[in-house]
Amino acid sequence: MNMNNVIKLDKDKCIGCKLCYKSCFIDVIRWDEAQKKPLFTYIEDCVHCNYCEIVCPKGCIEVIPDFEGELFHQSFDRYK
Amino acid sequence: MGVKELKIEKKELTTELLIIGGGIGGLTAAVIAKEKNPNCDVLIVEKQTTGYSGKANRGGGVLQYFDLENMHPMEFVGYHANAVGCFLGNQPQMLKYVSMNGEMIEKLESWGVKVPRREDGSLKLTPTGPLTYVIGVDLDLTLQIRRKAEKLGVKILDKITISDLLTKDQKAIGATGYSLIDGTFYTFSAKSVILATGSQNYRIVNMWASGRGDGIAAAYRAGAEMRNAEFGNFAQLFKVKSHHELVFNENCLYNAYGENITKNFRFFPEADINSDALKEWYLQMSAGKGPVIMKPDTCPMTQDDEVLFTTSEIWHRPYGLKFWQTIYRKCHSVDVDNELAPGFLGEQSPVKVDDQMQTTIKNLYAIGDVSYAGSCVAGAVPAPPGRNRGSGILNAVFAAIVAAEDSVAGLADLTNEPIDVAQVEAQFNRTFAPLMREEGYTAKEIIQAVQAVIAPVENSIYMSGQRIDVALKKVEAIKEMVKEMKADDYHYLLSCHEAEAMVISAEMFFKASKMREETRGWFRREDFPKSDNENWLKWIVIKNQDDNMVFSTEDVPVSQYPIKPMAHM
Repeated sequence: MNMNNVIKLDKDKCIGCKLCYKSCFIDVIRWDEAQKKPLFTYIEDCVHCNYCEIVCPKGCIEVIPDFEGELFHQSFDRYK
Repeated sequence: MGVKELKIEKKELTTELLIIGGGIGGLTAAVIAKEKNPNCDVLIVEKQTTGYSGKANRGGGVLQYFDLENMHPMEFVGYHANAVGCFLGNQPQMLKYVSMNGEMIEKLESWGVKVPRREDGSLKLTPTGPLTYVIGVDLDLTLQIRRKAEKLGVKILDKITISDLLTKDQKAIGATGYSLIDGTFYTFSAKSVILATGSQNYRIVNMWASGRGDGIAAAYRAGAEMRNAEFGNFAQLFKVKSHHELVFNENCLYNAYGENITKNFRFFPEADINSDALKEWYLQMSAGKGPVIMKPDTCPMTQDDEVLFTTSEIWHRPYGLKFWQTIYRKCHSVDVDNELAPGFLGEQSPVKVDDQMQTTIKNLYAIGDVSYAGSCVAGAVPAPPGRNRGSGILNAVFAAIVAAEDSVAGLADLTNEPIDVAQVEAQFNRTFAPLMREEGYTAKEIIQAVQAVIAPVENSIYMSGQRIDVALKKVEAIKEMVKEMKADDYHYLLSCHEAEAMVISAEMFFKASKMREETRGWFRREDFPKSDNENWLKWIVIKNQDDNMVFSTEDVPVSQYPIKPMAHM
């Protein structure tokens, strides 16, 4: 929950198929009905499952994971 | 503290069979219900998008397989009772699960699920432990079953989360929930309800992020009993840099002195994934012998790990291949070593059910990861993968078949009961309370506080009474914070409800763990290092009585089971 993942969208290539929105299993992505484009409204909740990137038929989404921000909460210093 | 004004639209819907959750369990139950009775009215309500939700489509793409032409199902039950379930399992139910293996795989294939086969039609088996194998399955399986369900006339409502169950005289009569998009408050009337909402995973490890225990909490609030909540502490080893999970790795773990630490606990071929490895990680790190690394070149199975997922060499799974290749590529970009650390997954699944998957509330069924431990099917091990990779999907399918058949058979004798307006009103007020607060704790603050208590190995895997007491004091403090949660919109409102569910789950886990003064199977107490068959062939049962968590025990009927511990023979 401390991650700063980034999701990049190439709006010009996006065809508005909504698959990225549907494939998000934790409500990170919302849908802009007017523009027919995804909104990455709750990016702080993204767990970089990469599904939105994988299902996009035009390859216009890129998920850039922030691995360092993910905490396992183990007790030894390096995992804090 | 100010109070906001809410303008919430309200809708009422009626169905015969209400299925909460559109993952593998919920979808399977829906299809089975329609196959058994094409005229029955089946509605799936899912908080995300049915077919994409849950975890079956983000896992390893494998199904547990038993070679029933060359073994009797009882052989696996015997092995499992001794080595994994440790005599805490419901052996007749496990026998039924193993016996239905071929039937379940054929059923999935008949619904369009792709199970890779050789040209001659045979399945390619990969052994994962004594008497058990995995076979491949492509990751679009839930999309295929959704298509099948829709063809059969199953109705589906997505982006609506169920927050509470409606009951009357200890019978389920429906549920309430709200739209994540516009907040519309829904009241569902149903003759029968199937809960398929997944386990509690505490949002610590990324791929298990969807199991947030909201269904467990709803069932608990409604008065359903819980069982085996202490077996809610699944964890496994991950690479430290990428947090990428390891598969088949437990034979090749080394400490900083180059010693193979695996030999401390792994004496013969056994099931994959073991809480011994997590304990050993903690002991090595505590002794200053860390970091712990893996040496995949010393273990043939680990060498094959990547081949299994990033190529079609073993199984042709084109949909999943893109998923795994993308994940492996991104992880490789940061993996500079093979250092390991445990990631806590929980997989708490305590909703108590009988052999028909019915909870202690009549007409309320619970299937898949929400009730795996509560069903006792496997005994002293958390929900899948537990200690057998590939068991998650088929356990959900098994439970769904059993529950749907029983539920549909009873529908003709049931009616949609009148909904109690006062009960709905109370649930409405509880549900939206965090939205009414101007100030308070965010869900994130509460969730991170719970994570910090439950994730460390020494708190939740290699436990002691003293450490559990400290953890419980922290959980009690977090419980007070829950009363002052605030949310700014419907997404964060759901996060608040999930945070509350995590606190309830953590309390159940630590209190049940304190009671179980022994070590059994996956469950480890540093202060009680041996199994105690004299006093602890028992299941711990939890019930909500006037908002108090009340604990009791049930004897495991081992004398009636075919496989008994030595002293009971």
